[in-house]
Amino acid sequence: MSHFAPIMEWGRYIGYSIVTLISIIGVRYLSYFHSFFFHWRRYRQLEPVTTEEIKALPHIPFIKIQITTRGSAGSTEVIRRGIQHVVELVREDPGFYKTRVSVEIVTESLDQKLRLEREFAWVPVSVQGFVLPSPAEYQTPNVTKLKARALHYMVELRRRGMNQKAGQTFIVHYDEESVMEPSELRRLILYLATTDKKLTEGPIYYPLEYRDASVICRAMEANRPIGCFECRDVMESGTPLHLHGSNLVIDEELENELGWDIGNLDGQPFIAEDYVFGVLAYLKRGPQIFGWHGCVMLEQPPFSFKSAFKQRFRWIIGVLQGMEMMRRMPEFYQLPRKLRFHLTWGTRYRILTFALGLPTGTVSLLYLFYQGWLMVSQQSSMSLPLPVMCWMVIVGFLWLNSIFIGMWYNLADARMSNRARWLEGAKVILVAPIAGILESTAGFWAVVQWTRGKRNVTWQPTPKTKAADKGLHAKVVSVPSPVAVPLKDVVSK
Amino acid sequence: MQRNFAVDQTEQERGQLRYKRLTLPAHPSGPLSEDVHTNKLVHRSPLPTLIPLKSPRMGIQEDIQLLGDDLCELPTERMAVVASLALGEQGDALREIPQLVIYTAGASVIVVLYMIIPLMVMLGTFLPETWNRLLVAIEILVLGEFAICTILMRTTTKRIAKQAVREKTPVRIGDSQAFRRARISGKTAGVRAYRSISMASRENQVS
Repeated sequence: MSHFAPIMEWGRYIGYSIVTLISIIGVRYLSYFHSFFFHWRRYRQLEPVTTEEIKALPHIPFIKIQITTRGSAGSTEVIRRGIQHVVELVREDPGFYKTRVSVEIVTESLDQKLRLEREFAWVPVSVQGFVLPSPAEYQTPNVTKLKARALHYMVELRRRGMNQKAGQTFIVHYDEESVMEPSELRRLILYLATTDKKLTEGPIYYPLEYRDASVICRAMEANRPIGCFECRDVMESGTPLHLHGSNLVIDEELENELGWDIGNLDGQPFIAEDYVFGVLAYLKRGPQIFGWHGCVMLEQPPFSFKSAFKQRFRWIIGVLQGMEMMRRMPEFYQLPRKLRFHLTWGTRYRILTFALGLPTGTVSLLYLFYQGWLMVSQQSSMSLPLPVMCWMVIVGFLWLNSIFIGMWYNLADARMSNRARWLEGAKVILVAPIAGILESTAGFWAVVQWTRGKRNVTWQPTPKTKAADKGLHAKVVSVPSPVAVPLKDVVSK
Repeated sequence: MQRNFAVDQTEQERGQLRYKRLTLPAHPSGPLSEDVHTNKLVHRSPLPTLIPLKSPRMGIQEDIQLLGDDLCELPTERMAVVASLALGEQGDALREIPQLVIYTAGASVIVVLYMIIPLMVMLGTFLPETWNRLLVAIEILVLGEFAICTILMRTTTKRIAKQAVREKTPVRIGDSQAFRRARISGKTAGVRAYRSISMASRENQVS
């Protein structure tokens, strides 16, 4: 036994560190589930809203749905899908909705603008495309790049009175693939007509093109909807620990005032413009403008692990950039010390839990197999003190159920039979431990890169069709180069 | 940036990429402005506007004649409304049921590993008998899951799923082919909407 004593000693230390790591993640899950169990009534708007009810309201705001895209391969199809759902709403009462709703697409592709405008020229809602000029033609005062540049371009146009409407106007921000069903849009209009909040968000689920994504990606997306419960919490408390760029609804006046000209950080463009915008809005206008509308937006998962990895990597780097920017702003130091601590460490804690998922998930999976083997061979004994063991059980329960909850919401909007839904659920639960570890590798790697000072960013939108995803990751060496032709030549044909 | 490909590349090669501020014109308000609709005022570029002819690898079957009058008649890639549907595959029960059994067993292993075994180990302090521990662990788990499922059911709309199963056929919106067929057969909502607008505009003209 004396030979094993040092190993046992080391094992104890490793055990303590694992318990610490699990506890760090567990506290975050407790906050999610606190919102889930105790405030679920405020999470969703489920009361059906009819057009007649909306029409009876004394004040109805104008809704501008803004779809911001780069116009890359596969995006036209998904944008079309999103617009078509708006058309579905408008055709319920064209006379009423066409004076209350419009769609604006800001794209880098003239081709896409023309295609979409022509396709939707005959529908009872204004669908208008705007081509973002190239950086050589247009730049913002702070030389903002990437998506924020497109968003600020629209702001500049609106500041000059473009498409100005009488009364209050809200901008509903869509990603390329975003879809809001007519029932959700009606709920949203009702909410916006009756709220004084100027910057609101709602939950996002991922059922679109579900079966085209790999099982690992489907399981990774099941981890996300539980985060919306925390999202509700931060939006209602008005502390923007995070903000997502789609299903983001902003009062036009506020957006025009703040703008998206967020600039760059040490020469690198911001890749989480939504988080940065949230921070700036908070610093300039305070917590009272934030709110939660609770209307669901549907999106689609990345199709391959490579795309999902890049997406997660981008989130973490983007948030780290935003935090760095915040710390350099003089307004930040005018905030109370407690609030500064909450903003900085709250976000750091979120990133830490994401990154720590890699070592924690790996070691706990191995440990659970070991514990299972002990149980089967009738050798099980409790190696941890009872309260610690109880805490570990709770964390395990919360983690697995967070996947279950995400899977439920994602599948609830998927058109499947009960049998197919059960099968899909079983698949997701089965691969959840591996998917969790793989997802955390992106966060872990982003933190490592950031800590090492490698802060260069690249941005490629997540491909929105399977073909585009394959095309992006295909190892093709000889690719025919794009050929440019002047527009006048094309039109003359 | 694919647009202005040639120009940008040449300037970048020379290392003389200079930014020019685009002066945005003051704009007339109102949705009926023709200039707004055609985007004339928005995209006033000092450079010639170029459109790339995308390579076949880009994923969309591009045709430069898309800019012609037949735009709406061209097929586009299939996209599902709410999810990529598998309703057509439902009939294949023989293939699905063994999968269902295997994956359910696999998921059960994960549930046992992450929830039941740790609970049983913890309960070992109070209950020496394995079967008692197992039963109590399952009871605790069922209670927890019941609470979660109750909240889930109360925060989910069921309409979509029920409708899909009832219809038995996938509804695909946003597909140009579907719209083309719709215009011919006159059966879909899109056509009804189109007709209602046509009628409304006619009424407006008359009035």
